Amino acid sequence: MTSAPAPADALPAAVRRSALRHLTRTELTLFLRERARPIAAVGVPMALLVVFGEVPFYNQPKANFGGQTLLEVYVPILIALAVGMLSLNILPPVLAGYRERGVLRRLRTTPAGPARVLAAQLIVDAAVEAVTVLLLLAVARLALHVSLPRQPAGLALAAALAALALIAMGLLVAACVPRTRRARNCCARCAPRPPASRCWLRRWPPG
Amino acid sequence: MPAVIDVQRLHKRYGRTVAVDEVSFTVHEGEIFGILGPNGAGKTTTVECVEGLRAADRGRISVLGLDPRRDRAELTERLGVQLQDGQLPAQLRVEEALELYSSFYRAPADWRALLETLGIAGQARTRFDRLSGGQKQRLSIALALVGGPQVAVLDELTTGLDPQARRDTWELIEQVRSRGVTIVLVTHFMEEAERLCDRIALIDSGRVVAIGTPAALTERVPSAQRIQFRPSVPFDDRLLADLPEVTAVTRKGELVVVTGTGNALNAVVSVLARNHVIAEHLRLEQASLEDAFVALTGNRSRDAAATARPGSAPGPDLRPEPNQE
Repeated sequence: MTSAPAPADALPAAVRRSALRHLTRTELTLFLRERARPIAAVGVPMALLVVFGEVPFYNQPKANFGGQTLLEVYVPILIALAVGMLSLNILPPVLAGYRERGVLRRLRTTPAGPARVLAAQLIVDAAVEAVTVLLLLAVARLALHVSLPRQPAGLALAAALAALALIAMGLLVAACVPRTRRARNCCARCAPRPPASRCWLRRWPPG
Repeated sequence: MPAVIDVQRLHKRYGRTVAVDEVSFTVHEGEIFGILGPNGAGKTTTVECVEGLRAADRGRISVLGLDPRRDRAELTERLGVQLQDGQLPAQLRVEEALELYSSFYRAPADWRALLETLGIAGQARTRFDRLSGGQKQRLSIALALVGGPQVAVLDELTTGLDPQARRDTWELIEQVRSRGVTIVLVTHFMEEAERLCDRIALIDSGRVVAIGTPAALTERVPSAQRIQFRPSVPFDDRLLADLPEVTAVTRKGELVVVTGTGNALNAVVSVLARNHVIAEHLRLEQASLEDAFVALTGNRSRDAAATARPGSAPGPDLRPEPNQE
């Protein structure tokens, strides 16, 4: 997505901040109000974690995992799934929909401009991804006795980089695909699908 | 009156198609200026250049003394835009949308008062996708006005509205104008232009065909008047046919039908009065803006009209030289 060459620089900084703050709050409200989105972004990884956490087979230490249980290996996979779900399954259709419905064009006629709604969207996505990852770790630790990562900083960095990469892909799709529905299909195809969640993702084109 | 919008020799092409060709017009402060033309005439492209959403290939545009492309930040503060088919996120509530959009501007209007004025205060908590067509249109106008603009561009405002909603919207536009906002109204509805606009630019195939008040445009169509009456006593047709304003006198049974230009009605009535003939059941049909539109927008519409009424004689060619105005 290309943004107009900094048209808003003449705006007082306070107005600019307030516009971004309002947009971010609005995007968060819309995210929560559209129930399929929080369910897909937070609910699905969480449900998978709880379901597989209850399966005894997943809780036995495996020699070929260096003594770790299958569940302990599965938690990072779920983190990737959660990040991918939001970045690839939810973000592109929302942005493509904004373009299709003329939301971005309307914003272009205001001092706020369309770049700011993209920024707001990314802030909300990053925040939801962070919350999801923390929730997954907390539930895994507290309810399912999975040990916490030994290198929290490393995990944070890896998750952040994964989120960046996947959001970038999602934005590319949103920028190239002309229609909401196609954005949805396109992403449902390339979204990460760990074996156990394949059936979920096929049926879950949320957003 | 100072010019609020000044467009000179605007030219825009998409590939090999010329969408806008040498369009020039000026909008004065406080007026409702109509841009009228058939679908695909280049109306929307013209106003998109004015709004700064499109770059013109050639020509000069000044809006409130600003360049729409270079001075975007300042322009968006002072120019309110209602886009054709501009929607909002489906789940966004009316009040949220207005609060959000008012946060974009330096000196926003009071959006609550705007809701009242536009008659959608009752829908403040309704989600966008639950609004009726008329309510969406009102919200769209509200969003165009929430920044407290000096100029508002409204594109195809009443398309898809039912007649009542359309009339309500017209009243609204007049209210907005009375608050000192200059309005550019893009439309293909004759009735809308005739009713609302102080001046109209008639655009066809990317060119300005005529500019003027609705009345002035209508007057440009000769044979504009058709007077029909039943004379109280017989009289000689030549009494009327000899008048310079009268072009034809025909009889349909008891009825006399006089066609004429300009002040034909005055002339006819005074001649009849002098000869002690009373015109009963007097009816006057004047050329409407629609007639002017058909006459001025050239071949396509005229051919269509001629095919529709094969019996009627082809009208005079009224198309002026394109650069006449």
